[in-house]
Amino acid sequence: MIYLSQLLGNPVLDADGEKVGTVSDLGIATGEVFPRITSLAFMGPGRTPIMISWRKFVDTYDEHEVHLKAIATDLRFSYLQPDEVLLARDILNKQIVDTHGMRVVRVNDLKLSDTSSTQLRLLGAEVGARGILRTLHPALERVALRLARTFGHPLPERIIAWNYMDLVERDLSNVKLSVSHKTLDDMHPADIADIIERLDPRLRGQVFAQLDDEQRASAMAEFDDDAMAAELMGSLDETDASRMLSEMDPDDAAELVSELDYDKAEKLLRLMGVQEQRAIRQLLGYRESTAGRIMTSEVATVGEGATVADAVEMLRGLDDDFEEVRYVYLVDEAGKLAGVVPLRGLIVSAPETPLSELATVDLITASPEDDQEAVAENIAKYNLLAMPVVADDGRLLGIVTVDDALDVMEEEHAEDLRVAGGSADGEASEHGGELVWLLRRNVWFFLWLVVVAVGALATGGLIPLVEVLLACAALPIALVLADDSVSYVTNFFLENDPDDEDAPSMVGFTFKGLLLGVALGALDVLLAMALTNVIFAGSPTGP
Amino acid sequence: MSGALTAGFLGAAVAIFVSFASSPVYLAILRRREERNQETSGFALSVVAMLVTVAVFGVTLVALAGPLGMLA
Repeated sequence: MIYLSQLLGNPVLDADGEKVGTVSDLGIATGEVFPRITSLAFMGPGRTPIMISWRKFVDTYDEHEVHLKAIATDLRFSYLQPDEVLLARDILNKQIVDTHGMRVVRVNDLKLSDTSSTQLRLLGAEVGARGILRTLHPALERVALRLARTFGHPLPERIIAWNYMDLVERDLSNVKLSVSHKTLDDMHPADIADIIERLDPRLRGQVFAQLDDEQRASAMAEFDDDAMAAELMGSLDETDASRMLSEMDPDDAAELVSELDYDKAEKLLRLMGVQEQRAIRQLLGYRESTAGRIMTSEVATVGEGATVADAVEMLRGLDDDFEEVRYVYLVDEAGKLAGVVPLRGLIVSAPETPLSELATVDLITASPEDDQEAVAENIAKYNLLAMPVVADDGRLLGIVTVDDALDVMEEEHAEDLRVAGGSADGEASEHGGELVWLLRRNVWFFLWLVVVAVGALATGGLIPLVEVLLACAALPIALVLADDSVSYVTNFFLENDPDDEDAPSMVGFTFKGLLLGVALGALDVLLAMALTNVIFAGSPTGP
Repeated sequence: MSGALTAGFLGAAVAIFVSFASSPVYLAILRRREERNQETSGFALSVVAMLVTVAVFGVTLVALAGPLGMLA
């Protein structure tokens, strides 16, 4: 095996052994599972960039030099073909999508197969630390490997095979990368959204623009970061943006529109169809964090006198992009919810069966003004796939589906974790997480060090260093307890809802806090007295 | 020397009391931010509480340095 980093900068020698330049890049033909190296690019005399055919002119190569078959004057220049990519220029140090592991990675080096003496093929991209070290200097990689082995943690290569790579800098998007290539286009919208969120901001719009309307709409609904989704939407032209909004479920579209500024939102809504526009405007009328905001108005309903056959007929007539149907709802002439029939009931019953015989009439419903979290908890509690949202007069307004409830739960959980001082971002804890964790857990220690240093400098020798250290000896206790006091607050905050009648009162909380402060402060003073007596007992400088 | 140790512990005692006494303030901040749908980091709150502690500790220490003979 040989790496691109080992070839770059090597001298290129002609058949007479004369140096004609230094290797600057390699071209590959992209339409293969393991692409062949097709061109050699090198810097000729006077830094002239030259490209020649690998097959025609390269005789041998290793990590020290490249030997050509011909003398310098016989070389014929070639040009990059439409299906060719330059490894150093287009792939090295660039972000790529690992379509197998569904993540964004940076290419630190490229691994080539040199099993044949003349033919060189690209195996994949090295995305781990070894690639970086090798690129800096091969000796660094060797030292790191030896050290890692000594400490029992071998440093594995992290290679992504070419057929699992997708380039995100889509200047090359017209290049078909591989015959069996899996690209972003084949991935699930949730994975596409994850990948776009992890990209450099400048690349996000570029990649997003490559998706078709349906993919954009699906991916947009999956973004965790609403502000980023709105920003991406801003990068589209207005017709595209409004078409994408029309493709989205009304609840997702409403959430996105609420992130836009008023003028932009109005403009996009006006470009949409009347029906979609009305559905989104209706949802936007409800307060944030209420069931009304996350419900969808796309509900499968039939009259309360309908039969199974009527319901099936209605389902067949729904648009392809209609919200996933889990239940069929029965409504009376005034639009009031009269019952609900699960899909299974329709499948196993005879067509002429009246739905009223199958329907559950003892319904669990939500009001559009109910808190989202309470609705999500009820969906989990009653094992529902969707919960109907009804107005005060019993009219069916929409449904909150289990996937939206899960999103609410996930957001609440992430928020609680953040308040509790943890990190809701799994990736962050994966990359360099130990160091961040160490810093977070020991902030008190760094603050203590700073105070001691500032104290020693500020007194300028007026007070001896030993006295400064003694004066600061109790500070860690105060710092750790300050951290604990915040935990006391955050625990209370997470456990008690201020609107809950049974929750402890603010007066009680304040009183308990004061008591704790007095008790722990007194304990600290007692400790001071005990230490002074023990350390300075019998000392002439004692108190 | 014992003056420095005593002053430090007294400073810490005052800072501990202030930390717990100000817990209703932190709770009010958390609740107000939640009402406005703003996210709050518990880590940031901890750092703020520790910085307040350092400030209270510093002020108390400076106030006690003279009476407890640290500057003698």
